Amino acid sequence: MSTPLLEATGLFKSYPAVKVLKNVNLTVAGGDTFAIIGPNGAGKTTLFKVLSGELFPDSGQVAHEGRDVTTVPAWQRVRLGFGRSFQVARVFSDLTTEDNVVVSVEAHRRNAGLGQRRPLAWAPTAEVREGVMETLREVGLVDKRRVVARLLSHGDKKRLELAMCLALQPKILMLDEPTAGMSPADRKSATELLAMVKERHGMTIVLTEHDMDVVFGLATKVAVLHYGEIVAQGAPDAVRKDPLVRDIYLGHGGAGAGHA
Amino acid sequence: MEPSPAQASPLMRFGLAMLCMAAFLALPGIADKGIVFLAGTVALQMVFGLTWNLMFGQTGLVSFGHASFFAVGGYAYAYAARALPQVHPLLTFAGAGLLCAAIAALVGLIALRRSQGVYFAILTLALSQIVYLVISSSAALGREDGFTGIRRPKLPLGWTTIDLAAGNAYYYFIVVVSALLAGIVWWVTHSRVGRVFRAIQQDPERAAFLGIPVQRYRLMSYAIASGVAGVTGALFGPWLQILTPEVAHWTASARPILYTLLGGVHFFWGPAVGALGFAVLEYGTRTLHGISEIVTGAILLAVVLAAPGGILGAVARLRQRITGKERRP
Amino acid sequence: MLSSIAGPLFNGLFAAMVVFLFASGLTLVFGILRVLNFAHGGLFMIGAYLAFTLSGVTGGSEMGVLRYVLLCALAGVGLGILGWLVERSIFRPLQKVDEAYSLIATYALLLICEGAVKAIWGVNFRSVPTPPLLADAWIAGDVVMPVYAVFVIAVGVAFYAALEWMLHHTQTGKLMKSVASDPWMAGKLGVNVPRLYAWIVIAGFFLAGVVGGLLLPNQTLSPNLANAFVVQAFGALIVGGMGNVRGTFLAAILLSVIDSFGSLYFPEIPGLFFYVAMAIMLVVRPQGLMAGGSL
Repeated sequence: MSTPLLEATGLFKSYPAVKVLKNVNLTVAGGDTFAIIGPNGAGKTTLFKVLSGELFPDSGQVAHEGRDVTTVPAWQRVRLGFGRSFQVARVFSDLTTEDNVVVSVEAHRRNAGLGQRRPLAWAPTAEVREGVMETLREVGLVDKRRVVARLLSHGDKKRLELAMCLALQPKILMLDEPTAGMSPADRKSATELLAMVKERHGMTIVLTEHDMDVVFGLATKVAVLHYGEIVAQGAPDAVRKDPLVRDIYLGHGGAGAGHA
Repeated sequence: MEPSPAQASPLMRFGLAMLCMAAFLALPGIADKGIVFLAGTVALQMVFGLTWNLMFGQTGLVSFGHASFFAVGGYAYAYAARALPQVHPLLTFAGAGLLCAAIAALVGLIALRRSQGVYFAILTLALSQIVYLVISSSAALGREDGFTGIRRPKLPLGWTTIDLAAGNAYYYFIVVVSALLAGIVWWVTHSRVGRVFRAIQQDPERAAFLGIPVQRYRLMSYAIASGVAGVTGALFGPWLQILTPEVAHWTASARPILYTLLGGVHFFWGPAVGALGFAVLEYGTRTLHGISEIVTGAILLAVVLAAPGGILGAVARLRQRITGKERRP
Repeated sequence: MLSSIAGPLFNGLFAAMVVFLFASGLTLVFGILRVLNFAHGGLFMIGAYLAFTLSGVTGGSEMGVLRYVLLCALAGVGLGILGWLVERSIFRPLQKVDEAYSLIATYALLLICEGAVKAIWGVNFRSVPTPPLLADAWIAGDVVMPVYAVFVIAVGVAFYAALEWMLHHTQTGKLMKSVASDPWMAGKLGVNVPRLYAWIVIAGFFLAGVVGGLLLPNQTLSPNLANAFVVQAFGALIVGGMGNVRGTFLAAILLSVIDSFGSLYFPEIPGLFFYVAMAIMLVVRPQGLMAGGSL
């Protein structure tokens, strides 16, 4: 690996009362599934937001393919190939499932410079509809394409949000707690879905996650955040065996599974 | 609007819209002059309401100053038609709309970047007061007395020339152009751009994370709505043959908001239905001093408190009850 | 030279206090309930009409200052009772609906106020003479200061001081601040939030009534009075920082004094500079003068 896809060096971030990030360094290589784990309050979400561009660090640098993107706002990073899902799935709740994806596909086509052939037609073009159906099929929401998103189940909303991200054909998929609030069964199928998506598209995934089954089922690399510092980083097995990690983090939760 | 199960099919809605237009066109044959005059005004107010909801219901922008564009369009047309009578009237009408769109684009460029929600609303209110004060004290625009003697133009169409001052010609002209303008708003709403507007209305941050340039689309919505509103204002001048600063007053800006809420904010035709309902309400109570406002206010309150979906929302619920639950998703 | 500054400054302060007095009740309601009350102008108007009618009922064309103050208080009480009714029937149910809808509801209330005034008092213009004691004018150099204007400025400052004192030095004020910043948390801590809301609405209506009476001698009574100050008051409210009493007070002064000086150099369009300043402030400092703390 020459230039890492995403690299953070010396990130610091403080809120008035607390230092949230203290000298965070991490390297995400192309093709990685990179999981950021850590106990509640460790600064996972803050780190995630700094990486996605919703927050800017007080100091330090975030580089994308070698280019400094530290202060590039989130929506501009989308054009660099970032796709972002939220902890509580955010979809356009008054649009149908299908239209949610239509908007995403059209946004992607517009940003990629793929014009509409018939600018006066109001309905989505055939290419757009094709892309939409393919994405819906991939996440298993074809049957529910005419349902208004507000009426979808929690798990389906997460699927829909993933579909919206996939429609952007991202190079880096940023998932904030992709299985938060799911039942164990939903969690399992969501993990399988993510593994399948990853295999088909081969994009890089950066995720935060509570559930260790999900983490060790998906991740090719794990970083452990503890009080704003990275205490371990590397392959899942190595991290799992790290005595420091076992002591301060996994040790409390028992056998490394379940919620930390 | 999405064909949600409680709504009529697209074909049926198109039929209803055509029926409505046919009724407007047939009106001069069956009603007296007073009603026809009212109907022309209502047609323009219907479109005016639609343009406000393009911003609010579709894009999530609340403007308290929409009437300023109606007024600017109206005065700009009146002034230009007098100063440059040789220009084709259709061009003058379009020019008035373009002027409004350009002003909105300029204003929005600053205003939308810096302010949202209630700030944007109050900012548009301040700007509309400025427009009101400038019109009220500008000698060229007739000050408080109004811009008088606005003529209904002759319309050269190449093969023939229609004198819009004759008979009910201008009324038909208003109805046809209003339908055209409503069509433009309908098209914008249902196009790719309209889908983006709706996405922004529901969750601007999520939209930004799809790579949608939220500010640019908000600006587009504001400019299109203001431009079309400007054309309705331009059409109104020759209809009344006088324009007074009252058309720019903030209470005039409240009208499209009332139409929208009364008709149903979640429905494309909501504001149009609301404008129609409002006119009926006002016409029915016009001779009663004070009672007219009380009744109007009470009905609005009832809509807000008891039927927040407006008239069309109530109709949709009724349809749902009749057609049964199996159509629910 | 001094008078060229003092004159407009005095006029500006007078205008500012009119706007602030009008906005005081509006600010309380917005600061705590987050309802931008379009009807406030209608309530103000009803207060003025009520004071007008009461001045007729209590007889005598000679209006003593004491009687005048009493009339204002009575108008306030009348509006306060109305406020209690409106809170029960309209504002409380509105808590559940979207912000935009509550705005429409208050506009509907404004229409009802206008209609009621037309139905009860008619559409003719009426006016009330200034109480003789306040009808005089003081002259300092070239500056003419009507006693009534001085009185309004004094009352404005007194109202402001009283509100500030109540907010920052009384138990009620602390309750109000806690509810304004987080009603849910305040409720959890045992504050009776609905009852506080009710009292705020009553207080807001009361202020509208009192101020309607106070400004009566300065106004011509007509059903248009409802629209007279609403937009300026909204401006002061928002430029001040979303329902912050101190911010509203300062913004009212800032905007009115700018307008007063502006009108001096550009007399063709009186009132223009108020809105120009308001628009500029909203663009330059959208968070308001007193951002951060509410009330």
